Amino acid sequence: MNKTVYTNIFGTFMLKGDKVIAKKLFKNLTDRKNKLKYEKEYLKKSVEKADSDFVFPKDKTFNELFYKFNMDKTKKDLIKSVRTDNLINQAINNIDDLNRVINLLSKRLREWYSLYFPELDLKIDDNEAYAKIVSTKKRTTLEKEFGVRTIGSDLSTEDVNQMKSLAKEISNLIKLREEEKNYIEEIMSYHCPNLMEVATTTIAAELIEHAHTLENLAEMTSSTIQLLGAEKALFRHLKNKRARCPKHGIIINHPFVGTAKHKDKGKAARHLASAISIATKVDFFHEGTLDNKQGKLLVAKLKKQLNIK
Amino acid sequence: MKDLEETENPGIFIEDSKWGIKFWTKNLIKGKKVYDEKLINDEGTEYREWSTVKSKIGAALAKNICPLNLNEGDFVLYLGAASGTTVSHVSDVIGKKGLIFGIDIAPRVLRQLYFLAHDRKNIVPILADCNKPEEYDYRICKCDFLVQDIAQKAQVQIFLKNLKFLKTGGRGFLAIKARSIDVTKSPIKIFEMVKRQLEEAEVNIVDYMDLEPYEKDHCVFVVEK
Ligand SMILES: C[S@@+](CC[C@H](N)C(=O)[O-])C[C@H]1O[C@@H](n2cnc3c(N)ncnc32)[C@H](O)[C@@H]1O
Repeated sequence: MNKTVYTNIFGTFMLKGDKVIAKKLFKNLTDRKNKLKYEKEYLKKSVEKADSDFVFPKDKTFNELFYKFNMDKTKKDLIKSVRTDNLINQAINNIDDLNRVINLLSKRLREWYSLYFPELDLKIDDNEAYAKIVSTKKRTTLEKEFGVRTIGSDLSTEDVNQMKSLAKEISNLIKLREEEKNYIEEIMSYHCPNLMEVATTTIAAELIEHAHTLENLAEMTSSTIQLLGAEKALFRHLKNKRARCPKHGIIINHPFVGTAKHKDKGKAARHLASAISIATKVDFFHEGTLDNKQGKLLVAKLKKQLNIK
Repeated sequence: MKDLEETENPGIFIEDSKWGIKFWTKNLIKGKKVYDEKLINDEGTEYREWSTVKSKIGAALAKNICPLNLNEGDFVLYLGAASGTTVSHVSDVIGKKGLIFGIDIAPRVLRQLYFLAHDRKNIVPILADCNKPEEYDYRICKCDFLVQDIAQKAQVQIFLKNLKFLKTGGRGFLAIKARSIDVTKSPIKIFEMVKRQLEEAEVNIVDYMDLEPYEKDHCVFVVEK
């Protein structure tokens, strides 16, 4: 049987069949870069040639080395694996969470505070303003401001303070949501400034979130981008041709599509998707420093195409 | 006291009670659960229940698939290891002398597998794309058993690429998710297509089946090299 030389993650071996007859174990992961040197030593010694049949004997020590070296490598890979895309995805998903939580808590606050001053719910639609008023103003002041005599019950300070605490928390969450939006804008301004320029911050982030990475988005065709986020409707259409083919996904929320007349929405979505596709490619494949010039040009062109002032 | 009986697959135990059939493996790390599986004690030995709805091998066992030829001390290559639900049971079966190379492309699940491997030192977690064996071939070696469970369009091609890591005589378990290959075709057509692709590549199919009612639109193949 021929002798062969074989190198894996933890050493260089001279093998005969699956028997190790000589070995050089690496000191650590980086020692592996010397493998050519070690292999050469064995190749001199009447060994046929390097071979990689991947056969290896079962041996307690070798098993432990497989484990140890791979754990070290995997740990390094995991540490390296976090990218700007991951940060954008977490933040955009969290904004979604915050939207839901803020709505939920605001509904509760409105119901709760209405026991005390139901007139406010009728006067103030905006949740942010509502929470702010509850946490900062007294009922007597509000009665004067709105010129009403309330039909709410008189409650103890203790009871009202609990409502005010909730209102304060809601205001804090709204502040947090603003901070996260700014944070996303900040990291996207160097990660994908052109995409952001064309798609707007939130939609750009949602597109990345949907594609998982900027790289995936850069590799998509513009017709895929156009339908990103409409997978369910698309799936229905593919399964059953009678179901309508969707015209747009996430990008429907873009002002250029949103404000277009109904019959023009498809056209707007198509042009927008194509501009987004170009901008994403610019951002992903660029070399050197990145600015948003291309994005600005694309927006100008889009406005012309869609007759937007 | 339960009536556990070893199946034709060594290390995998069956309990046939009036509530139905359950499968169990001996817990390698006593007292520790891996997912939300049940633990039981039978005459001093602790067993973990092998879920038939969270694990495709579990489902295949419940559907009486052919013997897997998975033994204590085996080397196993597991493609699509995820957070280790099925990997943990294979880890129980092969025991301390065996080794299971668990590969997954997603850092999120591999982090969990990494923590699991802290306890179970026969699990070797690897962050890699199974479509690129050249990126991890030096980290593994030929195996006695091969498992693949990844939801990818190129599932079959990936499996064929990785067959080189299976020893002659070894068996491979391939789980196919029809929807990942083509959402528009009927699952049955896709399974037939996969079968043809395997046969064209001269892979010896020992058994195959769908996983109803445990998994929808999935089927599995056991092959031998
Ligand atoms: C259905 S899950 C596997 C569940 C696992 N087999 C179990 O039963 O516990 C599929 C896994 O395949 C992984 N995957 C998908 N494509 C992959 C690829 N090209 N290379 C490696 N892993 C991949 C996914 O990250 C996911 O964790």
